[in-house]
Amino acid sequence: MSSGSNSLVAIQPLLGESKRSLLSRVRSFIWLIGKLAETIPLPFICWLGMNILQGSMPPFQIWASGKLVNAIQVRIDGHQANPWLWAILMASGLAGSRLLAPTKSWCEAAIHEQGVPAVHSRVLERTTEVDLALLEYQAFHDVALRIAEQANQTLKETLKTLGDILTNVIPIIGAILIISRIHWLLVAALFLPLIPLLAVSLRQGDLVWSALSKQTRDRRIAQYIAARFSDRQAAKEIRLFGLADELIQRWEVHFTATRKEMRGKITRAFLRLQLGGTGADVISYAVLIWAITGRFVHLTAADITVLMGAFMTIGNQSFQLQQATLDIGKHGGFAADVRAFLNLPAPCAVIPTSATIPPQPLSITLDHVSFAYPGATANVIDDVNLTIPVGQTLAIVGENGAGKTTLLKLILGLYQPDSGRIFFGDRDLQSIPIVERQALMAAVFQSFSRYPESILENITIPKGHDAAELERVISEAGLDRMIADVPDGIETILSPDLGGIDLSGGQWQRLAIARAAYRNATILALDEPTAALDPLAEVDIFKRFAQLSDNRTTILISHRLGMTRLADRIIVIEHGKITEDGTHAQLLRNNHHYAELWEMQSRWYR
Amino acid sequence: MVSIVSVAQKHPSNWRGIVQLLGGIGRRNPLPLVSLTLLTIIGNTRTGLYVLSLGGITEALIVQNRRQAIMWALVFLGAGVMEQLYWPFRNHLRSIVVDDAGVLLQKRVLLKSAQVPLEHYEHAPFFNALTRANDDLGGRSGTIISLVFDLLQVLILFASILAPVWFIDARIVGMVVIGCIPLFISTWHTAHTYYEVKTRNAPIELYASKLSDLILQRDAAAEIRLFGTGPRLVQRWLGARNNVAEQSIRAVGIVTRSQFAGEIFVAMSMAAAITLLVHNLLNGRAPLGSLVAVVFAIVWSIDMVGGLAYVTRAVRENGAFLNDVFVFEEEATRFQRPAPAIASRSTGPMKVRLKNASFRYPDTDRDVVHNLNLEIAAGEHIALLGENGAGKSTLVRLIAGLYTPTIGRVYQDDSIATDNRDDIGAVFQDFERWQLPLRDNVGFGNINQISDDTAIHRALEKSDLGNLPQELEDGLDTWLGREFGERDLSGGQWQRLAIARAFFRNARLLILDEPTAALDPLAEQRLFERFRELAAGKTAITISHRIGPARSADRILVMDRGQVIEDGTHESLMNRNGMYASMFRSQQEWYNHDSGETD
Repeated sequence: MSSGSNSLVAIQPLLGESKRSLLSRVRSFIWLIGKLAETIPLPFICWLGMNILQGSMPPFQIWASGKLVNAIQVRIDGHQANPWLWAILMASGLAGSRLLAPTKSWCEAAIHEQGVPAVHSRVLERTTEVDLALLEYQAFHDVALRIAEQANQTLKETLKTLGDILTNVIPIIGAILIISRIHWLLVAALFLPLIPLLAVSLRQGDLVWSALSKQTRDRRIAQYIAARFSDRQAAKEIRLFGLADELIQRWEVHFTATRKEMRGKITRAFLRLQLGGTGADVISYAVLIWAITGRFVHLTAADITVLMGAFMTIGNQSFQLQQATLDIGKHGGFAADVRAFLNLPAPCAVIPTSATIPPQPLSITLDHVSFAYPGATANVIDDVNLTIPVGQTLAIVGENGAGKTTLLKLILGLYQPDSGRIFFGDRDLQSIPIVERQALMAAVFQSFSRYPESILENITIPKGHDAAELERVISEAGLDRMIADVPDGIETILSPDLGGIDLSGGQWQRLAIARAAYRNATILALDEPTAALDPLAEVDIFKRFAQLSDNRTTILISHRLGMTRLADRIIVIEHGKITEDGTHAQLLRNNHHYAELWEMQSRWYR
Repeated sequence: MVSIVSVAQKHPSNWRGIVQLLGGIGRRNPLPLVSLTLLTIIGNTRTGLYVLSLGGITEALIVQNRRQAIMWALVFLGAGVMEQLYWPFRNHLRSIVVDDAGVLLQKRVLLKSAQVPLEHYEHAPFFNALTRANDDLGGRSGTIISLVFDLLQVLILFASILAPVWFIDARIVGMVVIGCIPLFISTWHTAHTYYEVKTRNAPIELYASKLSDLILQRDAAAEIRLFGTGPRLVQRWLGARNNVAEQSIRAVGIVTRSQFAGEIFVAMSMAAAITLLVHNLLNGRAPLGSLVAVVFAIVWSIDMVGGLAYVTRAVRENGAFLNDVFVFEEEATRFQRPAPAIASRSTGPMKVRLKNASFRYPDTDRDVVHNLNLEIAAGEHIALLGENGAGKSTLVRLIAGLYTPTIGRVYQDDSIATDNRDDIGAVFQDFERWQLPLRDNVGFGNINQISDDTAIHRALEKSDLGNLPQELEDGLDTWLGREFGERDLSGGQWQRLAIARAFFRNARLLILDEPTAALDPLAEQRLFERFRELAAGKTAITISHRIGPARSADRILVMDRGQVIEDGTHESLMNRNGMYASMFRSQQEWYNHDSGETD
């Protein structure tokens, strides 16, 4: 019944790992290939054609080589035949396969460079559109991260797998057809021994795979430990606490220990796998030699040439085919994840509308609002009723974990209440289109964004320029001096790695304030806007606060009661409920939690 | 980025480094290295046996000679067994050698980096050299070793495939080898072109990865939704990717043309080789059965050429990092400071003295701490105040011996300050969240006692985390953090863990950098109390971010532009009416208005 559990239902297939059937994985694999193809159809079709052509070259060449041997034999016997025609055909089969390769890799590069990012960008886009509460749910966020991080590599591998299958399956099918035309019994002789081999390989493959993934974890730990030595923060503790020797020793343990332990296991598994292959070969050869030299089947030199060529081709390609088949299962799992991810509901998707409604100042009403985080049972916000009149400055006070930020995000429409409703004026918040909401509200969050862009872009994103407005917010946030000091002024890029500069925490915070102010929204929310500032800078922002909250409905969360007391009204949140509500003076008279907090903070300054 | 380009250009060849590395491994553990070399040489002659026996079987079957067929089949199967034994054993030996290489190099860099004084971490050339050298060094040294053996393998394979053909007609071998030369050259250039494009686009790739981090991390998620910046960010990301794509595709276009030219030569040489072969067959100089074998030999050997060019190139390019290691070692040796002996063990709180101490970061021209004279008595509790950038953190790092003064002296008790001692404890504002078991997060405070469960539990209790081990599945041995653990802690819990670490240390001097992050007033209050307990009976220096609570210190120091401008108790500084008084009053203003109402 709660939206929290509803959204969890939507992501269930993403959370339950590897429960998918092989069939559904194969379907998803094909679906993902389709997505890739759709973004860049021409190179894809070209690539597909190249693979099919390349795959049909070996059977063609084998067939021609049989004809060639036949013609040579006829010629040697003194009859009329033209071996050179067949020699040319055979050579063109060999050369064709080579000449196709560069074009194929050109098409592949085009898909890698354009198709793969296009699909990858849809994953990123969907990350910005899914329900915020869902994204903040740890298990789901892990999945989202995994999909996005693997997207580039896995999409390329998916394509490669398809290519491998085409270039291996076609020669094998061709070889089977050729052999079956000589004698169908030979097909059975060559293929039956491969069946138990495949069974062994699947089992051993799993074993090797699990051993390898265990190694991966240890390797990652070793890498993490080694990276501490080139990390400024950790370098301090390493020196002060004298950790170097201990950490180097642990690095070595993680770097080598599991590998030593696993090495033998992997080698044995591989040996079993490989010797199984030899066993199959022995059977095939025994049947072949017995059948031919025992004259159970009568074969010409041309037949034998073709047969041996086909036999070698099958032996060569079947290993790669086996690998590619295993990869379908692996990448199919990923494809299914991507599919489920892209099919998630996108309540925060920006759908541009032509009608631009000038934002009207609106009152805000919460009517019996409750909210629990996905996967949690306890309500973080529990049956809250609250009305914020137009233009009021409201401060929310409470301990960490009491529900302050959650309440704020509900009011901003970033979370959907599990029960109860939120009204802006007389409109239900849910019915207000996202674009309109974005025009109505602005916020400075505790964890504001630091865009690796210019100062200008950091303030105006994603709106256009307005010189006068820009100047106003820069001075309101107290950024004028900083901008005058930096090398490229307002065009300075804020990322040292990209040839720009870095700002201090306080300067970033002012920038976040400027960004919110630039939006000129009628509702402004501030969540701990001075957390990263030193005391003097904090006072400076406090002083600007009156200007910021002027003419707006303002909601402020702060632990600094010296700041919140300026608000028209203060509410105290405890365990998801509003326990106190009134002006600073009223709450002090109530002599409850607020008064206690005030006492604690103000006594330092008496 | 600039640095990557310059390194790649400065040292075009890395073979010397590779030889050195192999020598190092050989000295450390010769047996696996030698066995691997021998195995690679012997094991890869199998392909020649395949070609030989394939021809033999085919011919024997054509002439219906069962004995011959069985014999050649046995040779073929023998080569098969050889191959099947080759891979597992090669992988086994290679994994040993590769690990040896990793341990050899990375350990050297780790040891060396730990001996470099901390201030050089702020020195860009050193820090970049360190980061570049240290980044997955273990993994990369393994890669280069694998590549070297891959190269040997491809060479032997190539030779062994063509050897049987040589006996049929040496001209065929000549044709194949000559025809492959243009392909070899063009593949060589291909690898180079890709490398160049990748290097040139590194900054754009970096920008794109920053954007995707921003999109994927939850920090910005609320703002992205409220401000509707999502489409813009994704569009920029895609723009950056397309920018890279354009250049890559152009490079691939050039590469494709040169590859195609190479392949035309290959096709011509194939045609010539087959002409020779057919001639031999028609003249009866070669048996009919050899056709299949020679055709396969031609196909396989040409397949090897691409691999040969690619691997040779890869060895050179992947070897570039060996240079980074050498550059780092040069840099590090320049800065390395012989570890001074630990001062004779005294008891009781430490006293600290700075005499005309100045500090500036390497290669900068501004003192961060300027000509400072300061004495801190044993057991004194100091509050250090000042704006961001005033030099507070630098001062405490000098006192802790983490930085060495550029001019002047810093004394701990009566000896020169060093970070090589076990009686200084610290809780830094940017403390480390060790993504390791809970035990280590506490035990790192005093590594000798890391197995003492009782002491660890006591330290956890003192920092309000007494219940944490019971809440965790594996108690003290539960891995913490998102990196390798199942369980992440809240910011407050990590903070208290850092304090537990300090509790675990038998410190005589304690340095505390208070958190500015959003702690609620109650949590902050508890933190102050913990700090006070921790500091009892010790010399303590607290960098204070709240002016009010600083007043309870024995002595308040106010720093500005690298100097202590005020020094005294709360009362004396209020009387002095300087910076402290003005800071105090500006805060007081917010709290004292109408304060009458509280009563």
